[in-house]
Amino acid sequence: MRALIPLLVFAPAIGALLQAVNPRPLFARTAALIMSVASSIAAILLFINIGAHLGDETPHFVVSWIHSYSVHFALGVDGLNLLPTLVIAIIFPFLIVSEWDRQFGRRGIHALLLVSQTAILGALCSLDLFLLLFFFSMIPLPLYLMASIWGDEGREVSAFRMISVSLVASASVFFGVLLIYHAIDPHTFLIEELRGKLAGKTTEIFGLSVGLPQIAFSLITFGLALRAPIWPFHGWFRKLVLKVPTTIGLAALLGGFPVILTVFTRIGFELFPETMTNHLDVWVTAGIANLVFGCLSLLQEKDMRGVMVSLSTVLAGFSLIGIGTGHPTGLVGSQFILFSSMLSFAIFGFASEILRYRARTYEIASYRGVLRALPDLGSATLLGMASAFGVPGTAGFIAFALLLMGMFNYHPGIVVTALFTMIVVSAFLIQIFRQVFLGDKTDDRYAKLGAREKLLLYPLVALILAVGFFPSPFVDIVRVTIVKILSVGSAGA
Amino acid sequence: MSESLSGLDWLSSSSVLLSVWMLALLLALTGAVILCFVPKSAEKIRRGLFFALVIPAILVPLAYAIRGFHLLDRPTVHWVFQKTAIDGLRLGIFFDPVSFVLSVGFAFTLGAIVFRNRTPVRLTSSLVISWVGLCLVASSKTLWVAAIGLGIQTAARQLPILAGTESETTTDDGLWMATTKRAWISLFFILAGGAGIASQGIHLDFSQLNSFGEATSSLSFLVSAALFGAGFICLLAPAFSAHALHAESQSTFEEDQFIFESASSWSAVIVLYRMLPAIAETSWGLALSISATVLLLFSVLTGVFLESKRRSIHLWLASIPLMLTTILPFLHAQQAFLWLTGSALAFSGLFLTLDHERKTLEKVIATFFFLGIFGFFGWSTSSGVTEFFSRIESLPLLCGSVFFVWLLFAAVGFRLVLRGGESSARSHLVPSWIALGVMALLGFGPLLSGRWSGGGLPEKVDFLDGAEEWPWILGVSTENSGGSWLGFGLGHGILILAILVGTFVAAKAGLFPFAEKYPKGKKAAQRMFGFAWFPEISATAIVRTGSLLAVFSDLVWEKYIPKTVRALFHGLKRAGDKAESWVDGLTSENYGKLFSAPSKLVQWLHGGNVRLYAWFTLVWVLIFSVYLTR
Repeated sequence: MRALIPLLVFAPAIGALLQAVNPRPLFARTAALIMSVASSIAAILLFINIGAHLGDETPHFVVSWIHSYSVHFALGVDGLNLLPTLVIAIIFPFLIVSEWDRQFGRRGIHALLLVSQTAILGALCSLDLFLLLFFFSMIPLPLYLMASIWGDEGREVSAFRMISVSLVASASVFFGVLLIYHAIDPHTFLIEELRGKLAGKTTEIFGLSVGLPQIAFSLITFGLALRAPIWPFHGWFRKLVLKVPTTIGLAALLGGFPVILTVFTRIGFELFPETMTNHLDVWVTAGIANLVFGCLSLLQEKDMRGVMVSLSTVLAGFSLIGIGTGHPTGLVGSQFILFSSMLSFAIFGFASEILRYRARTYEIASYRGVLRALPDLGSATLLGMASAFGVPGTAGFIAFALLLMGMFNYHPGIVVTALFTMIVVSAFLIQIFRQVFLGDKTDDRYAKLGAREKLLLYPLVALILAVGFFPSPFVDIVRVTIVKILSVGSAGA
Repeated sequence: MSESLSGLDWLSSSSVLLSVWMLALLLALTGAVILCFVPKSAEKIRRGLFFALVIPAILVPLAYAIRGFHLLDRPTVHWVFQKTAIDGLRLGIFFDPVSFVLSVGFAFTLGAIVFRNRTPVRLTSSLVISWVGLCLVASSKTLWVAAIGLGIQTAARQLPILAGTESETTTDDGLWMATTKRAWISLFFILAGGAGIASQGIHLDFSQLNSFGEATSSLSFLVSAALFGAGFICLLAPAFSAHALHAESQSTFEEDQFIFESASSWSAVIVLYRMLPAIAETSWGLALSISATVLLLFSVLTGVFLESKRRSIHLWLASIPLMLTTILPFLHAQQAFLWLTGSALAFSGLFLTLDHERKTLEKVIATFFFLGIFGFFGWSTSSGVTEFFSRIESLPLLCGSVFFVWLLFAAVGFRLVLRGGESSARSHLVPSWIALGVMALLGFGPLLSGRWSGGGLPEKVDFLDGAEEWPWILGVSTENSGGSWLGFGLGHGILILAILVGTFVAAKAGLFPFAEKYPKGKKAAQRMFGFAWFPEISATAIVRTGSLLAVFSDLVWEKYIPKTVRALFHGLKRAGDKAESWVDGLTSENYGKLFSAPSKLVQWLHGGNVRLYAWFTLVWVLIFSVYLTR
């Protein structure tokens, strides 16, 4: 089972290499798809195995990497990162398929998507802070290239902005990680070995003695918030996504808040449990700020990609509130929000791309009456929207039920705020649906969906429904790990 | 209930029947979904399609009846989290007389409608999906199963729009929008409230609920219960989406009625009925009753300004579950059961007959069911109405308010019965008669038993005797508080007054003269509830706020931060220039001031080849000296 973890992370990277070795288009994209799917299969097998042995030790893959500095190549999958890992590994092959027929630079975009997949999965599965930093810093590079090459007019500025912010974020995280590394004797980057050892440690900066948990955690949190992005650091992300095709936007989104918030939860509750629990109010407040801002900015979106961005701010806010509850149910809800929202984003993103392919625009106002030509696309999009906001029978319902239960344990006032956000956002989404899909048929641009396009939508729709009706295997895995992390964390604290 | 079954007991035939029920519902659902994608394959059996899809599911209630209406039950199972977890969400189903009456009653009604109207395949599929959702709610033992049922109904709303895609134009989007928003928003409230209650360790297992009056009065619980109730009220009140009814529609009335409004409204009432042990005789029940009464008044006010007969009927029929809720929390188990099931059956009868061009026979049938809804003597709803109005001495304000609002509602209803709808479809087809017969049989069941029992004559406490012959009533028989003649008189007084008002007030006018007479009133009625769903003013305000925030954000990110960074770099550059110019003085111009003396020495040393060779020689001499002296 351990061997599946490197396969999960590196199969896509091998696919990218194969493209370089044999650049013939058919081979290249087939290899890309096979290697991406191999990663998905590994994720699914890990999920099945962990689910079958709930409560047992989760698989880890640890080898020494840079021996003299005690850097390990440590990857692992447990209930905390399994859901995002699973859904990202599943969605990436769809991204490859979505870009199957790109007019130019097809091979390049497939290779870069594969590198992205490796970087994102690597960051999610890293159990060594140095390795985490390695993958974390790697995520923006393929995105930068993709945005610079395949973006719209003004893409260079957006890509540059993204890479600059990412560099600052990486530097901040790196500084925090180095402080941790030097504070512990013997030095180590392994999360498992650092657990419970950081409380009460101090470090000297410019001759001043400061608490390590405060300074290191602040630096790491700042870096992660920049990269997620969490409001008010989200500007670069919006500019990026509005300049690139939704496939690339989706890759950026998958490498954004789902990964970052998972990493944040792990680092926060495993390494700095006391600091984390002492500042729950901060995370909840940040979550509410994201909800409110995301909700308001959503209402003025005129572009399908913009809707994705604002919606991601709202859902990141929900997830952050779940983390801020500090309650097992809220944390499971937070993880489940990441899971279900990624599925919804994938459907919404693919639908946007399908529409753009026909109408040559992402502008919401330029669509009308699409349902009359593409009823299956409309149904899938509506289901994705419904899941994003917790309509029963979809994966989102479970996520929101758990999240709201966690919120009640924190404070019912948060629930009321969250509820009104949900209402406003869902009303707006239905409004968008009406604008795009309903109304009279206005033109003949909307050709019927092809087999490849159906392939992008149907499996994801099926997954949303399947998880909505049979959530237990997913939820139980997460809960076991969350409870364990919280109990170990509180014991350590 | 669930504790009585353990080990392999669930494999008893009752439980197997329940499993078959679930499978049959799943089969109907799957069949309906498949037909949505390949509607042409069922074109030839359009008329009988509904029955074809639901027959396996209908066989189970029939088997349940044949077996003597004994409760079918299975233990609850954990759905999310372990069963032992305090905040675990549980799934559970059972099948009782309520499940029986609602599943059978609506199946016959919808089957007859599909047969009569030859509805398109996708619409029939949608009706089947909605019906499956309703059945799931009706046989739910926990809130979470009911929530899934409501989710299925919400999904069914999509299909009429898909069916509409067969034409180039549509006029139904507004209705879809309004009702879907209402459904989603209601579900959010229910979800938030339900999650909150579950987080308090109350599992919302209908068979094990305790009174909310005894539950904790913590802030979390209060907020949860308030949200929970608000969700159901929102789901119950079609007036919230009434502004959409002012738009013209081309779609068939019956499908709209059931798919968009009734199925979810009835589902909401069923859940409230299941929760009676928690809310009866508590302040929660009172709040629910008051809210329902106020919203019913608004429904009436909205309805009388509608100009389309069809739309008025739509709103009026869809408001019946709301009317039920006005008194439901104050009824005992027996009366509540008869009130719910009797109303559902009368509703079904009206659903089949109301929207038709008026013929005497149809008027008589519609009047028959109309009287049934308001608890006319003999129909099973009567005992509930009598019991409620018997409380006038203890609850004078509530009873008075309900009396007044019911009077208006019934008067509007009777006018609709008299004037009728616009459908010219033949209503006297065999399936319609069968469906109407089933309604009448079930609705008058207690009467036909040879006792007045459910018929509601006051001071007749021989209810249980009558029920022996009708075991489906026995299933909920716990007590009978009876009622007074005053309650009986008030309940029936409403009907007499309503019939008089409905018949004679503005007798020569159209359906309702108000819209024409008071255009401002019509506008106000249109906007009365539209506000809740973001009409132009609020939407514009919100969008502007969003734009302002975006502008602000852009200013920060596009202007101020780059400006600050630029200023910082400019400052650094200037500092660098200064430093460089200062250092230049030292280092430049013939090696600068600082290095002028050494540089002169170096220049001197490099002054000519002779000196250079001399230096080389000296260096080598030194090297050899060191070597030789080792």
